[in-house]
Amino acid sequence: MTSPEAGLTELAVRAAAGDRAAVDELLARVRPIVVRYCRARLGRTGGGAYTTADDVAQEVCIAVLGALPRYRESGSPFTAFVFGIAAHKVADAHRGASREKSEPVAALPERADVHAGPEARAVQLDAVGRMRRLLDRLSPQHREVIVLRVGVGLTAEETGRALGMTAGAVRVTQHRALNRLRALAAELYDEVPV
Amino acid sequence: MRGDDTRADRERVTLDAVERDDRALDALAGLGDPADARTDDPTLRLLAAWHADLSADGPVPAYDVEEPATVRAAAPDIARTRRRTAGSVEPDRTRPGKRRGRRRGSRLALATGVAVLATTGFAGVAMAAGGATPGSPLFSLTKVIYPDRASVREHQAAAAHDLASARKAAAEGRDDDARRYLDDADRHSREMPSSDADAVRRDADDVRRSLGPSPSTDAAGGNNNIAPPSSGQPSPSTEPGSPSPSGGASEQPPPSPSPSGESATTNGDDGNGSQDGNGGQGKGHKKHESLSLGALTALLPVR
Repeated sequence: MTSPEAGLTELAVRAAAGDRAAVDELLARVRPIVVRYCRARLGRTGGGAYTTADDVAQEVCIAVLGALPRYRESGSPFTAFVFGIAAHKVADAHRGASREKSEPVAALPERADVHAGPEARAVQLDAVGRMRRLLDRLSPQHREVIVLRVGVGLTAEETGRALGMTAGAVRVTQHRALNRLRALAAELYDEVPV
Repeated sequence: MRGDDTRADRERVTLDAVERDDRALDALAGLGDPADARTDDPTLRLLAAWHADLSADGPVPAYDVEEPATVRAAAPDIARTRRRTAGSVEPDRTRPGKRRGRRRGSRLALATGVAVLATTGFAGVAMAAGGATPGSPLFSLTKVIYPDRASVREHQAAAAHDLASARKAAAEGRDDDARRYLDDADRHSREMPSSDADAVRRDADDVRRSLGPSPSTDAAGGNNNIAPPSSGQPSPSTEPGSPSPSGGASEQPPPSPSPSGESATTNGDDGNGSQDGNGGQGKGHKKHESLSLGALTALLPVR
């Protein structure tokens, strides 16, 4: 299985050097990763959509492209560069989260609903909501590891590169984070830890 | 982290447990053997639900799409970009195949954004100037579908770009350019919700503090031909008639011919002020076309 991060750094170096095809591909590759990261960090809005997270993801992509010419000199893995920018944008969004409770919905295109039925959906959203509340109680580093490892879907090695840790440290950290989540789940929801 | 580790150190961390969790997370994220998924663990089940939910309504990369014939006819560049992208991007493994049909809108928008970026280049997004195509079907699309949010998003994106450009200019010693970008960012911030605007101004002030003292006598830093504006007072060419987002588009005078790309960039920002008007189809729209389409990319996936 190819990871979302494979070859990104090399691609980014070419893009930073002005290769337009590389810029195209880089954007197409980075965007889904950034969207998942922002959704994992920001969750759904009150209206139940990922509007805010997706908007922030878009801002991150634009900022990444804007900062790309500087990337070459930094020498760090490209994911570290991207998630560094994304973390700042997410922090900005958290600061602004207390305002804007509205959901602008002018002229949305109609689409067929291919989701599960209401009941299954409610069960799933309940699980998602529980997970989010649990994640909020983790320490920042545990949360970041879980967000990158599970939310974004990076391997332990890639998560390590993005966070400046060894893969082994990621594995131990994620194990501790999972144990903490298990304890919290047992405490909050009477879910019996294994 | 330290605190958690100290607490965790009291737990028994065995190599076996660490590896089992690692395999379970790989399976959960679709990276490993599904047999390692351990569905008996309620916490991992919650994580799996969360993981699946993150790709629920997702915007995805542009490939294997058939856009409507009208769009294809109107914007051949999109199709070309899409085909090129299609060859170079591998499918998103997190996305169930049955959802592909729903993604047309977002992929079209992404392809559009890619097309414009490919045309202007990422530096061009910040520096794009005259030679815009006012009648472009792409720009109209944004304004038609999301006039209000397109405008606000555009200002936010433009301000972010201006800030990034200002930082770059400051880092390279081009203080006057940096100040010009910062002034542009301030101008965009006036069209945003207040907390966003505050963040922009705060960032802009941060960059300002890193600049040299005088805005007008920077002989060292790669100066260009036009007179640099002071930081608090935009140059005349950047604010013709204080355009507002809701009207006044027709009042906008044609941009004056400029000797350098820098001044053309500020003219491009002016075009932004008349986003929602009918008339603002003058020069300098290329930059905002790309930005507004970027905004569209974010907007279309919303249910």
